[in-house]
Amino acid sequence: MNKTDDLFDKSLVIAEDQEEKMAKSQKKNDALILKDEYDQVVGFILREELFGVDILHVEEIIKPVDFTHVPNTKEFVLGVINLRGKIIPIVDLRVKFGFGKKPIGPNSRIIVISMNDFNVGFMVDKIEKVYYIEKKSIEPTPSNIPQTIEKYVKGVGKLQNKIMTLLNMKELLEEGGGLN
Amino acid sequence: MTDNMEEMEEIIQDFLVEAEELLEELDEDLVKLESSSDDSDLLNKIFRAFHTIKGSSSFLGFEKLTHLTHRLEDVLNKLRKFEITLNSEMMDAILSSVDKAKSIIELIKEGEDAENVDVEENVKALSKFLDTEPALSDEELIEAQKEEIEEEEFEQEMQIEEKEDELEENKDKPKKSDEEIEAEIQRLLQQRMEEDRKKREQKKKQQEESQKQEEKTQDKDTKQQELTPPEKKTEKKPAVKEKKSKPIVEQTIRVDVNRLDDLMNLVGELVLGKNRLVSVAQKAEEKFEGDDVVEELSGVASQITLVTTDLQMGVMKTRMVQVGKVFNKFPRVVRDISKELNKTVELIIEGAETELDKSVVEEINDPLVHIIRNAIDHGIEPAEERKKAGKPEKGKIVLSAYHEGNYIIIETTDDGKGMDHEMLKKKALEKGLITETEARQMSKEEAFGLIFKPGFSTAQQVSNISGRGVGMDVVKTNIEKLNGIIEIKSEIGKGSKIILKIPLTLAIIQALLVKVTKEFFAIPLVSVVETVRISKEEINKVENKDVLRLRDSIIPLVYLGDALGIGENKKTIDSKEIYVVVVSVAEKKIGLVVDKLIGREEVVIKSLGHYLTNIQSISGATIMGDGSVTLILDIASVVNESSNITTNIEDHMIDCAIAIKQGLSCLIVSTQDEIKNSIRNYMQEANFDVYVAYNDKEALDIASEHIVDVIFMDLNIPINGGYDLAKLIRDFPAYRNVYIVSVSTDGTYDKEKLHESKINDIIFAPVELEDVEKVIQALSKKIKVA
Repeated sequence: MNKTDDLFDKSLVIAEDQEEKMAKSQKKNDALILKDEYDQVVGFILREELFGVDILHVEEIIKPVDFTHVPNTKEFVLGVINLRGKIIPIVDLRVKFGFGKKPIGPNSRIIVISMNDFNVGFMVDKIEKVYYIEKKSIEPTPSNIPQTIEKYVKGVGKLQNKIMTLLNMKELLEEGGGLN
Repeated sequence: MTDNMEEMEEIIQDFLVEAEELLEELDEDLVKLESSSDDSDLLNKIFRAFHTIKGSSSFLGFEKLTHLTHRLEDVLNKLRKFEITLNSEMMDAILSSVDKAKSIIELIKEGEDAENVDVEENVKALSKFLDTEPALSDEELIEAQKEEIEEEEFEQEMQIEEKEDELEENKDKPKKSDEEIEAEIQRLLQQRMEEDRKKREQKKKQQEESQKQEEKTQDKDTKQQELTPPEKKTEKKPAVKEKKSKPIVEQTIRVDVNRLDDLMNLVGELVLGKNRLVSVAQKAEEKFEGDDVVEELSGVASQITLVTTDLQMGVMKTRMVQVGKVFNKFPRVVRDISKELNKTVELIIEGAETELDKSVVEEINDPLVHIIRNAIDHGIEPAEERKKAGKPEKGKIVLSAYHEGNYIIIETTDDGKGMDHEMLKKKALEKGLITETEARQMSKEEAFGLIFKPGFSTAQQVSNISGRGVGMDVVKTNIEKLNGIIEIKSEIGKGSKIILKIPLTLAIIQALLVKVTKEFFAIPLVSVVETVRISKEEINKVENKDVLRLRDSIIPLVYLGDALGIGENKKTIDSKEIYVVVVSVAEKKIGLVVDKLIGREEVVIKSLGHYLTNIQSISGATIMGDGSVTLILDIASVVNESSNITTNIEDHMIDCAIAIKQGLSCLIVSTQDEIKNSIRNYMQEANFDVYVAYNDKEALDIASEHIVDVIFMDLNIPINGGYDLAKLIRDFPAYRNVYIVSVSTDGTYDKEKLHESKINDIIFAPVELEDVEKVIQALSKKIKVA
């Protein structure tokens, strides 16, 4: 019973205060325009790099739970888990992106993505927070992005003092995890 | 506006369902009619069916369908009045028209334009039997007008047959001018009104009579001309009444299949919940035996179990349809095929009322068509041959269905020439489907199974019906898809029997849970023939493959871990207790070696989702009582894979009695570098080989590949912690007595859990040399004792 309660990661604070702060600082704009000009992105770390996925595709973020290995799947498929009665495959993004395997640590989290008919969990090293990225500041994929992950990248978002690689979830999901 | 559209849509849907049902019934009735062409009840039934379809389709504006069914109706009208007699040419024309009507319905269903269908050919073929010229378009107009009148008369039409006759005659007259048509309509209306009046009078009279309960026959002198014989009339009356009062007495409703599917899914969830409740109750019982609350909980759990089982049965039953829905198509199939092949074959259907899930019914149609086709083509001999063999000229095929536990058995038995297994082997060899050695080793049953190989055919010539070697392959794949099995029995000269065993429903199945390495799998029980426990000595080698001699048959053995590609280097089988699950897929039997049998459970099949589609050997997943996920094996694919790999089961065995090894080794499980490094250094100094794991999954993998002598484990390792890991490791046969030391990083531990997990010792971080030395001392003492 306790196991299910633990599934929800309380450590992740949805940046409500930040939203408020931003809204206050730009009081002249009303909320609608704010939504139009900014993308809300969940930021996470993978091999010390900051990646982001559109918050609209994120169903939830959970702590690593016991998964069941599925034979005859691609190497990056860790297995499947039971998320409140639904079977969800778990993908190790590090392996998928060729960053080398790293054991599950205390900061490891699973981002559960729900998009179209797909429900997939992605294991990442660490969750940062929800970022607001100005749509204007999103730039196309730079050429120095490794080829192995190029097709999964939508663009690069510039933040005040760092940059974030935005992932193209559609491409990641539609590739599937079965052999063949 | 949209409301109207929806309403119309609904009306069309209703029409389609009704028409489909009627046409389906027609097939059966028409074939029946062929053997009893003077059954006037049957003729009337068929006539009414055509009439109903014609009526509704003209109302809905499907002109081509109206045109076609009208002609059919005409022919049937003549038939039922015995003005013409049925011959096989006529039957062919009728049947092909019915097929055309079916295809039109299909088009309407798919939302395509049904008016482009060419029905003229069928109409012409039918018109031949009507002694009339093919209908002309002007005449069609009159017909249409007449139809309207006919329509209203439908209810009473049995009584006014004669009048209709007049109409038919009128139709045959040459073209008419517009005025004439107008006059004709007037005349018809007049006639109609008069009839109505007469009918009313007659009805009144009849009512009075029935009130008085007089059983005298009516006065025929005055009314004979319009009246059908009295017995016919009384027959029809109750039918009409029944029709009118139907909305009140109706006992069935149509329900959208999607709703039933949703319901079934919910019941699936409930079953999972129930499994969980039962497992919690069991745990509570073990822990607090004799406690009042716990006993109450157990009571509730078993009550919920009962209700859930009943509910599940109830929902399953709502989805059940009679297998007759499929069977009833076969008289027609048999008729067509036997005619084409010039054989006379009688089809006997048994157990048509046996019920099974709707989705299963849809899937068994194709396999059965192929099986029956095969039986007629290859099984039943030509008449002369049958005579010579002393059999009745008419071949016999019995199609029967019955329940056996949670399965439905469908048998197709023919009394033909049977199958010669030696001949089958020869053919397969010729075609290069099997090798010489395979042929030699093959049992009789396996040889029969050859007919399911793609590309296999015994037919000398490719005919319209068979010989391409495709059909039986379809049977196999479809039945496997349903988790079903096929069995063949055959005796030369006496006939063959093909037995299909299919689970009643696809959503919830009985499964056997097994353990392989650190994983658990569910094997659908329908595929399991038996389970046996053997020892190492009972495994024999034939041409470098492991086999088991089980009673009088030789069964190939494969380690399930190898078949799934997860067994590499794993040593988790106890050589004294080897468990074999004998599974059978279609015609093949194979023994899957597993580490452990867990038990039987009812599992709800869940899909792995879009991301993981078509995973080899896995058909789905299910959620167990403890919330964990267990994969359900696709046994057909496992068996297929097993024949492609070569394995040596002995590689996976471990002999627990002999623990003496070269060198000593240890496994350290921790995420903290300090702990790992200090223990590693101390152990390496003591000449131990050291393996390191970061989490429980890794630890289990390493432990099953390298049998170590001592394990140090951090109690706080991901994912499930050290206590659970210890329990899982103890479950491996090689680790029943291995020394397990837990490391507490924060100074806390749960004494009860330590005991429960059979952890031998505990040390605290930071780990000092003397801690490790103590462990090594205890270990060496233990080894000496052993």
